[in-house]
Parts: sequence; structure tokens; C-alpha cells
Amino acid sequence: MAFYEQHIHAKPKTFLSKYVFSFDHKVIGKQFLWYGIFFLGVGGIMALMIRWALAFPGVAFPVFGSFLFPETGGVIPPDTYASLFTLHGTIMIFYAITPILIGCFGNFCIPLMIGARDMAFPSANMLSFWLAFVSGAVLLASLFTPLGGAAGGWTSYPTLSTLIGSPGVGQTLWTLAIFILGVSSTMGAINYITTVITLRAPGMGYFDMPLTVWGLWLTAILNAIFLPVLGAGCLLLIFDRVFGTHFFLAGAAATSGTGDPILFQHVFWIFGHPEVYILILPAWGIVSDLLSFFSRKPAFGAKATALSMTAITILSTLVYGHHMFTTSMSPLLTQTFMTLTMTISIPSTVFFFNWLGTIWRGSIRFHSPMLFSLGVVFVFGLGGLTGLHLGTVTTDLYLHDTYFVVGHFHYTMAASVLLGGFAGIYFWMPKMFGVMMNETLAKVHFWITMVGLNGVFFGMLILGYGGMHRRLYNPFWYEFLQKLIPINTFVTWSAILMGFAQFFFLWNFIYSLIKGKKAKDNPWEVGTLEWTIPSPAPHYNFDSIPVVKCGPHELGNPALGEEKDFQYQTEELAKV
Amino acid sequence: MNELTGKKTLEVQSSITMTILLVSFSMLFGTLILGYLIFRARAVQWPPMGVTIPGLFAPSLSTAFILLSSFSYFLMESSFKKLLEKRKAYFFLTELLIICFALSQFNLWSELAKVGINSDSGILGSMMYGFTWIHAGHIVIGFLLISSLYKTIFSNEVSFRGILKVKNFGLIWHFLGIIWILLYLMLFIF
Amino acid sequence: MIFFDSAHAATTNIELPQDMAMWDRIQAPVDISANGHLIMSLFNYTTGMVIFFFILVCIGLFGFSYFYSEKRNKKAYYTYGNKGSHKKVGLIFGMAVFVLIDMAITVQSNNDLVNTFFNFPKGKDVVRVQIMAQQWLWKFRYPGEDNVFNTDDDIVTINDLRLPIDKKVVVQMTSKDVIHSFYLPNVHQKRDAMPGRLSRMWFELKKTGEYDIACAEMCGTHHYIMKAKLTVYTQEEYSNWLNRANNIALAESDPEDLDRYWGWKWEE
Repeated sequence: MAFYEQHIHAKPKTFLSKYVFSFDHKVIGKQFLWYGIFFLGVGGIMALMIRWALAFPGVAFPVFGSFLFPETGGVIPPDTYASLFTLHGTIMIFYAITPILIGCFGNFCIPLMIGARDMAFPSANMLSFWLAFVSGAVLLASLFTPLGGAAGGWTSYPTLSTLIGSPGVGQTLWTLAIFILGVSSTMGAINYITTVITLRAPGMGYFDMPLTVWGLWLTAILNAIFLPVLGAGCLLLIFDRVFGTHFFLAGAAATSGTGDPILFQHVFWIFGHPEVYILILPAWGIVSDLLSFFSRKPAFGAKATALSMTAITILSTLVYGHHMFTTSMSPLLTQTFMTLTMTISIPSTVFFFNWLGTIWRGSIRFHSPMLFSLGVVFVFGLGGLTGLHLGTVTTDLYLHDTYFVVGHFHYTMAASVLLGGFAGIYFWMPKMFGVMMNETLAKVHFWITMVGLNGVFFGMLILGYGGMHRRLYNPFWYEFLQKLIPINTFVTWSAILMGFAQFFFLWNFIYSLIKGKKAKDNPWEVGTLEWTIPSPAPHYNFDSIPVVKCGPHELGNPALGEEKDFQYQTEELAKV
Repeated sequence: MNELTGKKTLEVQSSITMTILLVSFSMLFGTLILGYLIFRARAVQWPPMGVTIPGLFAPSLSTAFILLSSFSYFLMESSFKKLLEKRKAYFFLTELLIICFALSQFNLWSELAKVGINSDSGILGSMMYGFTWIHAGHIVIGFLLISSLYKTIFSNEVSFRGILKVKNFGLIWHFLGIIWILLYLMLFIF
Repeated sequence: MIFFDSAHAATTNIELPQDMAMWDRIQAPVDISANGHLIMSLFNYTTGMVIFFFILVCIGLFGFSYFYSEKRNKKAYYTYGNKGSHKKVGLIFGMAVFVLIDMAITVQSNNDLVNTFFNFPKGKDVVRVQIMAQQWLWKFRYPGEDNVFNTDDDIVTINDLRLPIDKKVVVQMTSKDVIHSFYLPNVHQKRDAMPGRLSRMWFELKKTGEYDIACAEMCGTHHYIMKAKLTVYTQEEYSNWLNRANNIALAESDPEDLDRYWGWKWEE
């Protein structure tokens, strides 16, 4: 591969060019971080409101309930509840996970870890952030329309999401916001893919890249291919809503509609299933690396892990129908999707096994990034395995649209990505901001979050098995759900505990930014390229582009002397 | 840094980026084509009852203009590479042909309205307007990109980056031409 | 539980099952169907396997964390994990999961689908009901004595489905407006009711009583109260009810009332 050294730009001088309209991937990464953390908070509060309504229907929401809902005396009304779960899902997926894992870590880590000065297209990178910003603004604006924000679920199935079920402009703005974000993410994806392929430092073959980069790269590939499908779906839905087209309108209420609502489901899930892998792949990559770093030994089967992640990337495109088992698709199609879904178990088991192999016979340091990584192993193991119940058609006929599904995807998507994201923030804090986070607060954050999170999501698995279906404003209405109500309440209290735990993170984060202990260049004693430069990283990244001579997980080599048990990727591999 | 390896990498970057971009666009239009195939395959009668497709003149005019604009672009590109004077004329010709395409689209839409096909006229109307609008949106982007080539085409030297830019914007433009041909065949011919 | 219940008491007057043991609480709704056990036994098998493998994972996770902490193991074992023996263990693990869980449940589920759930009963002895889902209620239509749908003698009910035990029941459904999902918790199945399409489900009931029907697909503001009642009769009670309802239907039916004739020709 021909190698191209990007030249060093002059350091930006003005406030605007340094912090607002910056071309520097590190600044853009941080911008995505603030953006993502803001929306994580908004989405989290929405989750707590949902849980409040489920556990204590008819009781005013504390603190700001009466301010938000004066007509009902502070009680969350059913329409608002529908908007809450819709926007909770939308915000968490598109405005929290995507910006933090892909926007922040992707932008910040990729060039540093591959030894480049910046992304291949810095201007497109900046445009990508500001498009995301516009999208966020449009989404927030949709909340203040007369008929309120979108309320058709984050999946926005027609005909509920057409004018039949959602007459307000809020739903249109929601769809527009998603479209704009899709354009932003697609631009980012093209940037990441090109950067990884063409800007790797000399000597860095694909299997010398850290697994974090693998995860982010595979995510970008899926994004570039499948976001346009969602984009098309969104455009067609907007046309149905604004220009009277009939793509998704059918049935008695749709006057002359000859469209097909199920077409939207196909289009949505052709994107939607790869999307869930898009959300988890960066976390898988990060955890694969961190487990190795903190066990002081190479990632077990690193090549196999990279190949498994690639296999899952490919397989994820073939299984989307398992979201539609109850739509009376043809039996052959249904059975085919079930069988294909099962194949994903094989690569998943391989890299899961490799995770355990990594910590096996290690010399484990339990700093907070490691605790969070081990947490991911736990929650993803549990969550991933519950996917088996859902991938099987007959059990899914019972479990579809119940809290079992909610528990499953929160374990795999929310818990794993959240824990993986926190692992990343604690780990790269020194490189990003030049400070260390407080370890004690971090550990408290970890343990309380784990307790809360498991209470919430395991509780949901139980509720789902007990038959509680989704998107219910008030479960008290049904006889068969009466006995589950104390479990609902337990889930709510666990959620409140989980929410409370995040204050430890916020306090730690803000305090460290202002007054944190100054970080060393390589506090974790790890050899990937970003740790060969000062903390925080200088604006040009590398004085001279490094030449890579060994892999990213060279730890614990017995040929190394007494002073350090790891090698930088720029060092020749130590031989006995 | 080595001038040669720099060029090679830019070329590789350019190819990779263009490939991914065109794959992305293909997925977008592919979704539309998928929708069309499904609606078409399941329709009891095509065109749907009571719908008459307008004469082929209007859409064929669009097809002619976009094909000509691609050809004109190709001529502009080859004369640009050799720094021939006529590259400037071809630039303006291409821009003109694109504007003609846009005008022919407006004409097509008014022809459709004349035979009673509006965006709310059932599934065929939905597809005719919906798909051509989405295509038109990309045409606008293409037009802006080509317009931005003014400085490059009119400069008095042929830079390496210039050649890449002209080639890549050309790829996008020709791709949109192919998409139009597919839409033309799907919606108006078959 | 007192703390949990005080808030409930403030909001509803419903009698809560106060003294149920936790184990009973977390059980799935009582299975009143002939074939629900196929679903639940497969669920239990999957859960058993999942628990087994998850325990293995936890043994690895917690065990390795304990025994290989920096304090206990000063020197990490330097391996890339790509030796033949490593790959063999990984492969055995992978194949074990795939065969014991994935293949087993796929084959079983497939059989259940082909032999049972997608194997729709035909013939005269089958009870047929059409369902129109709409925002926010369920309408049911029985064909009446003439066994043809959408005629004067059809029995049309709102939120009231009555069925006999020991008879195969096929329901065909569609929606008037948005997508709903016909969910019978005690039969452990649901099917989506979609506008512009017909979908169907079949089951056979084995226990009498009154049970809930719910809508399991978000359909708007009152999705949460789109509740109907399933009454399961003995065959004798069912025929009695059917006769009475038939007579009432004939007396009440008004050919001018177009709203009443929302049914369609039954598709076998």
C-alpha cells in the first residue's frame, strides 16, 4: 500500500476555528462526545419518566411533573407517554450511542491508532458533525409542535406513522431529522472506511490494527451500505405524509391507498438489523482491546476475533426478517430467516470464547476500564443468549412485542454499549483531555450501574416471559398482568438507582476536566500508537509518522526485560 | 514526502471513496427499485385501473437531455486532460444540457398532471413523482458539483487533483444518468 | 411489598394478588391451549441451555478474574491464542453451542411450525372467526348458520370473543386503520392485524373460563386499553350461546347499516 503522509497544518488560532468549526478529528470527536452525553441525559430522563408511569400510574411525576403537565396535575398523559418511548428509543440509538461510540471514538481513535495525522476528508468530517447538530435541533423542535412529537415508536411503522395515525407535523420533523442524521453518518462512514484503508502507517497491516479500529471500520462499512436504505424509507414516508403519496397506505382508512405498510417494515429492518450491529461493533472492538491491555497479555485469537466480527457483519445483512415473524410472511421465508439468524451464533461464540481466553492466565489489573469491559462480557453474554429465544419462530410468536424483547435488546444494545462506552471514556480520558478520572468514583459508578442495570433488564426479561406486552401506558388494565406489577415497580426502582449512579460519572467527569490529576503520556502502559504521543494529543498527532513493527497487543512477552512488560507498535518484536 | 506515492494514494483514496459513495447511492435507489418491483409484481393490473400513462415524448426528452449531458461531460473531460480550448465550451454545454434536463422534468410533471396523475393518485403516481423527485434532488447536487468545477476547468494548467475531481464528479453524473434510464424503463416503458 | 403497593392503592381500585409467591408471579399466563406446550417446552429447553452456557461463561469470567488477578498471578501467559490446541477448544465450544442449542431448537421449531402452527386445519368442524382490529377495539364476526361471512345472520360482537373447548379455531384478521396485533396471552401466540392484508392464526382451547385479549402492536393513544374478553365455553354452552346470538343477529341485522358488513369472503 502506497503511503501518504498528511502534512502538518498550522495550529488553529481563533476560538471558532479551534473549538467550533474545527477540521481536527480530535476536536470533532469531542464535539460528538458533548452532543452524545447531552442526548444520553435527555434519553435517560425520558426512560425514568416511562418507568415512573409504568410503576406508579396516576401519580404525578416528581420534581417537574406539574410544570410539564399542568392539565393533569403532573401525571404523564397517554399521548406524551407514547412520545416518550418513541423519543427514548430514537434518542438513545441515533443521538446518544451513535455520536458517542461512532462519532466520538471513531473520530478520535481511528487516526491516532493507525498512525495518521487526521481523517482522509477533514472538511467532510466537520460537515458531518454540523449536519448531526442540525438533525438534533430538528428533533428537539419536533417536541414543541402543536400536536407534540413523534409517537409511533422508534420503529415508526406505517400506517400509524402516516397521517392516519399521526396527524401532527412532529412525526414529519422526526422523519426529517432521522434522514439528515443518516446523511451525516453516511458521510462519516465513507470518511472512516477510506481513512482505514489508505492512511495506515507504514508496516500496519490489517491484522496489526487494534480491534477497536476493526470494530469501528466494520461499523462504517455497514453504515455506508445500509443507512441509504433507511434514508429511502424516510423519504417515502415523508412523501406519504406531505405529498399524499401512497407508498405505505392501505386498508379501509386509507381511502384510495394501494400501498403496503409491510414494505416499510422490510425496508426499515433491512437497515434495522445491521443497525444493531453497527451499534455494538465498536464496543466489541474496544472490549477486545481493553481485555488484552489490562490482562497484560495479547488478545487471544485476535485474528479470529477480527474475522468473526467480519463474518457477523456479513451475516447481519441476511437475517432482518426475524423482526417480522408475526406478520404472516410466507412460511418458507419465515423458516429461512430463523435458520440464517442461528448462524450468527457461531462467530459470536468464537470471539466470546476469545474474550475469555484473553483474561485466562493473565495478570489482571482491575482499573475502571477493565471493570467496565468485564461488565460487557457479562451483560452481552446474557443478552446475546436471550436472542436465541427470539430467533426461534415458535417462541417468538409468544415473545414478540413483549418486554422479553425489550430486555434482550437493552442487555445487548444499551447495557453492553453503555458499559463499553464508559470503558472507552475512562480509558481515553488521558489522551483526550490530559487528565485521569478518579478511580474510586469510577468503581462506585461501575458497581452501582451494574446492580441497577441488571435489575432493570433482567426484570424486563421476567416481565416479558410473564406475558407483558410493550408500549403500554398502564399495565394495571389487564387481569393477566396484575401479578407482574410489583416486578414492574422493582424495575423502576432499579432504573432510578441506575440513573442515580450516573451522577458519580458526571461529577467525576466534570471535576476531572477542571481539576483532574495530570495524566502521563502512557498511564495504562499499553503499546498502541496513540500512547506513543503526549497526553493530551497535540494537534498534529505525530511528530513524524510512526513505522509499525509489531502488533497492537504485544504484552507479557517473556523476551522483554524487567522494566516494561509491553512493547510499543513502533518497536521490533522482542525475541528471546 | 514522495510525490509519486502521494499521487498513488490520492488515486486509491479517490477510487475507494467513489466506490463506497456509489454503493450508498445504489442502495438508496435500489430500495426504490425494490419497492417498484414488489408493487408491480403484486398488482392485479398494470398500469392500475383508470390510469393512463402519458405519451412517451416528455420522459424521452428527459432521457435525451441527460444522455447528451453525460456525453458532453465526457467530451469536456477529455479536452480538459489535453488542455484544449474547447473544454470551456463543453463545460457550458454540459451545464446547459443539465438545465434542459431540469426543465424537461418540470415539463414531465406537468404532462403527468394533465392526464390526471398527481402525487396522490395511487401507487403509480406515488412512484412516478416520488422516484423522480428523489432523483431530481441528486441531480441538483450533481449540478452544484459540476458548477464548482468552473475554476478547475478554466484554469491554465492540468493539476493531478483537478483530473481526479473531474473524473469523480463525472462518475457521479453518469451514475445519475444510469439511474434515470432505469427509472425511465421502469415507469414509462415497461 | 408494602412500599410498592401504597402507590398502587392510590391509583386504582383493582384487587391485586397480594400474597402470590414470587415463583408463581413470574410464570407465564396459564396455558389454555392444546399446542402452547410446544412453545413453552422449547422456551424451557432454550433457557436451560442458555443457563448452562452462561454459567460456563461466568465461571470463566469470575474464576479467571479471581485466580488471575495481578496480585495472584504476577506473570501473564504470553500467547496469541492461535495454537492448534487453542483453536480446537474454541471450535469444540462453538460447535457445542451451535449443535446443542441452535440446531436443536431450529429443528424442533421448524417441525412445530410445519406440523402445527403453520398447519392450518380445514374442514367443517373448524370454528372460523373474522377479526377487524381498529383504533381502539376488536370486532369479531361469526359466519352464522349459513357459514358464509358478511351475510345477515353473521354474529358481530365488540371486544367479546366466545369460543368452545376442544375445537380447532381459525381466526382471520385485518385492520381498519393502523397495524394492531391480536394477542392471546393464555394461548401464547400473537399475530399482527395489518391494513390491506389478511393474516391468520389457529389454536385449540382446552380450558373454560374468561381470559384477556390484548393488542400487542403500538396503535396510538389508547393502545393500552385495547382489551377484549375471551370467554371459553364447553361445547354445549357454546352452541347455546351461538343459537341465542344467531337469533339476536337475525332480528337486529339491518342491511342498510353498512358499518355492520365489514367482513370479507373467507380465504381458505
